[in-house]
Amino acid sequence: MLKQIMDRKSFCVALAILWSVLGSLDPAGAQVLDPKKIRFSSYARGLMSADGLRETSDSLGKAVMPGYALTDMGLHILPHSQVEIHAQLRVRSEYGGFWGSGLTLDLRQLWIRGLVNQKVRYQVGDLDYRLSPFTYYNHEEWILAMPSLLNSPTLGMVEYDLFQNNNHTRRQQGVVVEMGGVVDPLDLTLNASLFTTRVAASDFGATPDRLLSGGRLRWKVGSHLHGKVNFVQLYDVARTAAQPYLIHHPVLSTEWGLNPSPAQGRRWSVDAEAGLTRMGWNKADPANLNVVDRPVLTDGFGWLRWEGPLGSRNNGRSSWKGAVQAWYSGSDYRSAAAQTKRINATRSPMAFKRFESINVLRPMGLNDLYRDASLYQTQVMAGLMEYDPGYGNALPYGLATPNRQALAINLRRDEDSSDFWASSWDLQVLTDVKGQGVTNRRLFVLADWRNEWRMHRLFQGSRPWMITAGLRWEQTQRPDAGDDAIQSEVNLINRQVSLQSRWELSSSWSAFAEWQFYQSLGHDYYAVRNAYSEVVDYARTDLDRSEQWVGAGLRYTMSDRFEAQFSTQQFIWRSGSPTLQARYPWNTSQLMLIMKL
Amino acid sequence: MEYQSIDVNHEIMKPCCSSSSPRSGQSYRRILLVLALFVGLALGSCTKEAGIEGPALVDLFGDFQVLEPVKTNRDSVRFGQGETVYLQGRFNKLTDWRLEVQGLSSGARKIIQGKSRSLDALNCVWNGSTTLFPMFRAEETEIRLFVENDSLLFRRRIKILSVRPTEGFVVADFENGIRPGWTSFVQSGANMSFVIRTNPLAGQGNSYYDMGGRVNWDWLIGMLEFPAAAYQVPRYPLLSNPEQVYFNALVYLPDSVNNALLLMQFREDDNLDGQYNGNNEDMYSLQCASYSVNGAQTLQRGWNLISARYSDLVCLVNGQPSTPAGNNRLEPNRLHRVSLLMLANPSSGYSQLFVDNIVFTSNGPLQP
Repeated sequence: MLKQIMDRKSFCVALAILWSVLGSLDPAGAQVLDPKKIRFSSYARGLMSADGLRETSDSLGKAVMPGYALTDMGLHILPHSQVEIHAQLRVRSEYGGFWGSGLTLDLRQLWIRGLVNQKVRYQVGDLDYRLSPFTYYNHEEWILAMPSLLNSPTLGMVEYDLFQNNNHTRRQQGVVVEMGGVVDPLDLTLNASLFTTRVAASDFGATPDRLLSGGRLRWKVGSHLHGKVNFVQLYDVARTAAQPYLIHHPVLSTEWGLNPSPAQGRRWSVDAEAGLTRMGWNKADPANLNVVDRPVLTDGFGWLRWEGPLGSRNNGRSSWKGAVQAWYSGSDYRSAAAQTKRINATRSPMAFKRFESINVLRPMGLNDLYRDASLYQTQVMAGLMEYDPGYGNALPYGLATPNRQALAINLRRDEDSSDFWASSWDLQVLTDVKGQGVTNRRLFVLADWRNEWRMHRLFQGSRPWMITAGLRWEQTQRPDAGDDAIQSEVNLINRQVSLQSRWELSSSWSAFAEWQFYQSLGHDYYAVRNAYSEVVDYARTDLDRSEQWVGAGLRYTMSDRFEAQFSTQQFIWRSGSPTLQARYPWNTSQLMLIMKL
Repeated sequence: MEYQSIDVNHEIMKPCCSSSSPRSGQSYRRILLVLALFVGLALGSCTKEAGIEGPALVDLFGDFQVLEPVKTNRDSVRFGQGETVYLQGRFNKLTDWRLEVQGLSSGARKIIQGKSRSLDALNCVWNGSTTLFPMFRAEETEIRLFVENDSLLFRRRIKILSVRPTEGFVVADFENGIRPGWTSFVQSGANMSFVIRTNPLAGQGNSYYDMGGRVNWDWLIGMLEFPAAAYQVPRYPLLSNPEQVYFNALVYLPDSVNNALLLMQFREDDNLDGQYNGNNEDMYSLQCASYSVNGAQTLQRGWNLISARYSDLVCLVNGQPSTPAGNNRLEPNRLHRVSLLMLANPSSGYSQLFVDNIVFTSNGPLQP
């Protein structure tokens, strides 16, 4: 009997092999390269710069001339009408690398996505995902929010390389599934998505496998009322490493939005969000009494915003829009996927690493932040990352900054208007929820004014000529009571002034010039946190730092696929604080080309 | 979330919405209403949360001040009657402090450290115990309180009228000579000194046992045994749980000695016949030495407190781990005899150790 079965099995296997061979020989079944099923995309850029940095005590200074060319070659394969596979290879060559010695080849991204039964959408591999600003969001850094004609192109390269963008998504690796539907009788639209990603690649047992998982349920009733339920959790997988603690960090929020019908003359909208967070380290073995308990932080947050047109209208439209928002975040509010900063303040720049005269590491400056991708954080971090109070003290983690209550007003003149000028005003007033080290709470005031003058409209010119001015102000203060045992006299001011001008010389050529000044002056007490993000100490931080740059350049653009820019600028950095007294000018001339296909 | 643009044509069909001035008035009122709502919300949330986040700034950066002068609760103390000495005082900030007590005749020292805003009977109390040997005697002591950066803030003399009683079963403190029933064996070597000595060097009280000599043909220099019968009991009156019983002894290593090995043996009467038989009953051991020996505590110069949980004793044969000959169960309530064996490498010359205050304690090591 067994022999019969074996004979039958062998026969089936042989038949299957024969079928496969015949199938592979069948011309109709042969794999043919179908251009419709394969698509290419490409991005290429080249950068050559000449940099010179000279310390006060160094009469000659140091100079470098780095440069590189790179191309990202993307391959999109559609093996099926509902499946797409994408891989992107990066080839980078450093200038000066001889016969390939400076050549690197990387797989930059890889994903597979598709549809199942026209209902369920999925993506596996690299994911760009976001939820709300309090739950899962890649907040923009306050210090980098001021546009710069000279430096925005290089900052854009850094952001492109690190997958950081204006959509505030966070690049992770994992899987996401989305589905949706409509409940007709209620005019209810539902969309749901679930995701799970790894925070870091496995090291096979040294540290626990840490995952970031969650999802969102989005609903909409008619066209006016909508809402979302967001959930995200950072957690360690049990038994993946011999570690005594496992992080357990869920964040749950709900969002509501009301957009009354513009057709009825109601152009305003109201949005709100509220949620709860918990961050704790659970014992890997709850029965082990020798392992002491670790802290558990729980707290909540809430946010409310009204937005609408202001004032009289021209042609049925108001030229001014306004928004008012208020929010609250508790001192123990933690949300790793929203609080992971872009800038990693603990890192040092790659270029000109040390002050040779005093033999200390050179701290990062704005010129580094505009160019050096190694200063940025890509991995989601549990707890609160360190930050530089001089580069944003009020909202170092964006809206997700804990221990804040705030009121913000924004006024904006329509930027699409063909008027002579456009303007925007932002004012935010914040305070601590809990006093840090004293009962008095700090008061933060942030102001942002930007104005653009379209000079060609004033002079009836044929080519656009823009002048842009900007002023940003951040002040941190803490009033001391007369009977306080310590007079902390906290007062820290960060201010930034910008003046830029751009002339379009022809349809392809434009010239520009820019001056920006940034200063951080005063002191605050910086909260030093332990591994569980509890405040355990305060370090007095005295800042007397200024940075400014002035420069000009030429830009050539051809449609939106090719851009070339030559610019030269001088960047001057100075610190007069008690802990670091140094100054250097840093001259940079650079030529860059960017192509997108 | 985004501002939604309006359909102009649709607006024209609704004059009530396109007329500017009445509508503007409504808009302003609505804006004022919204602003009032937000300001109210913001002000409403401005109530201060209880407490502050992190340590108080004054504790980290404030100048140190004494709000209430430091004082002691007494000038003389009877630790034997359960009395204690404590300091009282209050500071303006969280302060690192260190209390040092030194016996003016014994040289004993007690060190208590803490970080607090005040000193009181809970955080700065001395019960007569010792940190650095010898132990305190009935003597005069000096108390000194150091705060921040080791600056001396307070000094006072306190007289000890009676010392702290030893808790537990005292096997030997050598204060009253050799107890009847103890047995000793001393080799006929050179400079043998297996005697009780009475001098200020004693670890506890006034006397200790001096074990020294030179034997160039055997590791054993001499031994002293403490059978349970010497205390008029068939077995030591100890708890049955070996996790709760601790053996403690003070051992002194003289400055010039580098070759001493003290082997402590614990023989059990497993069959409860009142005798110990090496063929079928358990014997466990504990070692300490002036040099590094596997499994043995290494002695420092001066007095050392040896404390071992009974359940951590091991069976050794010629210094190597072995299997007990009896029921292979650690049973302190069947302990028949304790032996101290003074050993040294025969080729290493003269060796010497002092022993004092041999005590069994329950539920924790000896608090000297």
